[in-house]
This record gives sequence, structure tokens and C-alpha cells, in this order.
Amino acid sequence: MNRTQKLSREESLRYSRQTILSEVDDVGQSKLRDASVLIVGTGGLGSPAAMYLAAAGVGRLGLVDFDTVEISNLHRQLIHSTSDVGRSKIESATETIERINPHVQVDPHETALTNRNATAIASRYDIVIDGTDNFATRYLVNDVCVLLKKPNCYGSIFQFEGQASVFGFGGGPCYRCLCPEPPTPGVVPSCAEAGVLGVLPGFIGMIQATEAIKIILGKGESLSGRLLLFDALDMRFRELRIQRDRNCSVCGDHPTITEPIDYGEFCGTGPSASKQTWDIEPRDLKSLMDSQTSFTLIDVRQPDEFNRNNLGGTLIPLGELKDRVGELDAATHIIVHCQSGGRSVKAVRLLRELGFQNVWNLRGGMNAYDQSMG
Amino acid sequence: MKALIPTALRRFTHGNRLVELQADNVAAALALLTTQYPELRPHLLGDDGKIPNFVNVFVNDTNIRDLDREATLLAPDDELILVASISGG
Repeated sequence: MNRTQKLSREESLRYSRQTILSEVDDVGQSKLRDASVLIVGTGGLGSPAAMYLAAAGVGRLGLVDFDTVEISNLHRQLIHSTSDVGRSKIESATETIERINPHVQVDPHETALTNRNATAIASRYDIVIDGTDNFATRYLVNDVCVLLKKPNCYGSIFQFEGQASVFGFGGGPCYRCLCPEPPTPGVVPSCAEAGVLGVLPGFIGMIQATEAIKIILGKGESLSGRLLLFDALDMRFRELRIQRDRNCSVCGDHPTITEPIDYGEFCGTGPSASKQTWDIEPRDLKSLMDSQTSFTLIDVRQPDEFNRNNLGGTLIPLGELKDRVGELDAATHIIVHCQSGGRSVKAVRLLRELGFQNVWNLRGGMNAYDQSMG
Repeated sequence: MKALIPTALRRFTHGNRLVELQADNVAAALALLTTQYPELRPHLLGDDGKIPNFVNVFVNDTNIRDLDREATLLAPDDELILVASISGG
């Protein structure tokens, strides 16, 4: 964009209700037009963020996604429509933005954000909006933003609850300052497993867009240093203070992370995640099932997860395992599974500490089993 | 004092969002909470009995990491806010 170019007549009309605000005016609108924002993910959070940033006149939007539109996305991912089911999300989102505001340039990045491409992609933008749906990519986005000194407008959602903040901005904390380590894989269910109220990402995604606009304009009080919690059931916002951790591994005084790392390994979710000593693969479980060999299959998920789908095992939630260990026969061959292999690792460790020697973990849990079986 | 349970952990508290506790400090409050709701324990306390790095505990609006951690004192009208890591988008 030409930084000296004035707003056209059409632009002046389009943004008139916004430029009439003294905090925006023509100067601020030109700043928006000259700004660029990278939106990682065009799902529940990325949809409202991208649509509102486009409507507000942010001049260049980068979109990152590798997925296709599924019908189960449509209750919350409003950038995609019923007719888009089966299409690339990037194509669908790009078309929607062009319909909303033809003045906006869209850079489509139809790829997964990885530790190999993230720096090159993010370096081309002023601000990053984290609309991802997994911990590994959230740590990747955070680290790249800190390393490139780009503000990271953060949001995440779960069922009826959302969180928002701005990380790596104005000397404030980063995501690692708040959460130095990710949860054990499988402990926190995904939206696909636990569900999400469709309107929820609308709230949080628009907060992320609002923070990006404020940073571009240089107006207002940023969410940097504050974690905003939103509970849709209570219809309550809470604000918590968060501080930069001087010992943070990426933004601290003596950082140990100076370039993107292996986030699958870090979060214990990727193909490179360490194989545990007592792991068995999904194909091994299938072979056992097919061979009619006698063994005990224990499902350590929660009853609601079990009721949605299961492999026919006995339900003993991880939290009850210690008290119900008497129900198990240490002489039998026991295989433990959960949804993605995190809780079951803990269960196997517990049982082995209690003297069970023939107890094994289904690596990657039901997710891996379903994927393996096609 | 009151402990506020985040959505992600409410399935371990029989859906309760708010639990009344009588405790003088954070460690005692978490001990009471995980005794009352044993399924919470693996999500709030590590094998070493400490709060894992992916759980944040605030007293009112301040992170206990910026106070006295588990030894942070609690007053009867304090709110103990548990913040779970969530990743949905």
C-alpha cells in the first residue's frame, strides 16, 4: 500500500461511521489500510477475526489453513457457508473476505503452520492472530511472534468458556509466561471431543480483532498483561493480571529458545513424540482383538466420552483407577487406552507402580486407533 | 472462600462452577478441593503434589506465581480462580 495515498471517495463513504470517531479519523483509517495481519486458522476464531478486520479496512490479511470445510464447522465458522462444504477453507474464506471488502488484499497460505515455514510467513505481517485449535501450534505461534517481535492476539475456547490476551507486546508476557508447559496429551479434550457453543468463538475472535485494530491505531489499553476470561453460561467476563516471567524460556532474560523447536515433541503429540516403554500400536490392539486372545481392555476416559464412542473396554476413569484397582486381575494381560494417549500413560504408570507387570498403553489412544483403521 | 472451577474441569466437580471451602492458604484449599472431588486431583496436582505448569491459580486477580505460590494466604472473602489451559479455536 502507498502510505501517502489518501482514502478514495468510496473508502471514505465505506468507513465513514468509523472515521467519524476521533480515535480513528482518516489518519487511523489510513493506518488500518497500510497494516497487515496474519490470521492462523480460519475456524471458529479466525472467521470473525478475519471478517471484522476485513470490514474495518485492514489492508492486507494473511490466512493460514490447510483444512477443508466440513458441515460440522458451520455452526461457528461463519466465514464458510453450506455451499462451501468440501471446499478448501482458504478458498472459501478468501471469497468471503473479497465479498465483504474488495479493498482488502488476501494472502492465502494453504498450508499447515510448521516450525519450518512459520518464521517466513509471519515475518511478512505486522500482527498475528492465533486462531489455532491445538497446543503445538499455539506454542509455535507464540515463539515465532516473540522471536520476530510481533504482537500475538491470543484467543482460545472450550465449550462455554473463552480466554483472550495479547502476548509479546509492550514488554508484557508471552503465552509461555502463562503456560510454560502444555498439558499432558489427551488431558484437555478438543472442541471435536468436548463440544463448543457456536457463538462462543464469535465473542473471542472479535476481541482478538479488536485488540489488533487498537494496536494498529495505537489507541486504547491493550490486553497485554491481562488475561480475559469469558464464561458464556454465567455471561461474565473476568480479568486476571499476568506478568512477564523473567525465567521464560523464550521471552525471559536468558532465553533458551532462539528459533522454532519441534512442537509435536514438546507437546507430546507429534509423530516424533517419544515412544514410551510400555506402548503398543493400534495395529497390535487390532491383532489381539482379531485373534480372540484373552486380554482386558481398560478405557480411562470420562463417562461422557465413553458413551459417545468406545472400543468395548471397561470404563474406569483415570481419577477412579486407584480406588478401583481391586477390580483388576494382575495376572491378566491389560491394555489401557484413552482418547489420545495421555491419560492412559499415567494409568499404566500407576498400575505398574502398584505391581501390575503385564499392562500396556495404546499409543495415541482412540484417535490413533480410528486413524489407523481408516 | 470460593473456588471457581473452569468449564474444562467442571466434569470432575459434578458440574459445579463454584465450590465453597474453608482454607487458610492455597495448598490447603487445593487439598480440600481434591479430597472433595478426587477426579480433579490429576488435573490440579502433579505426582509431586505441586500445581503443574499448565494450570494457573489466581487469588482474586493475581497469579499465585506472583504471590507465595501454594503458601499464598487466603481470606474468607477471597476467590480462588483456577485457569485451565484450553486450546480450542
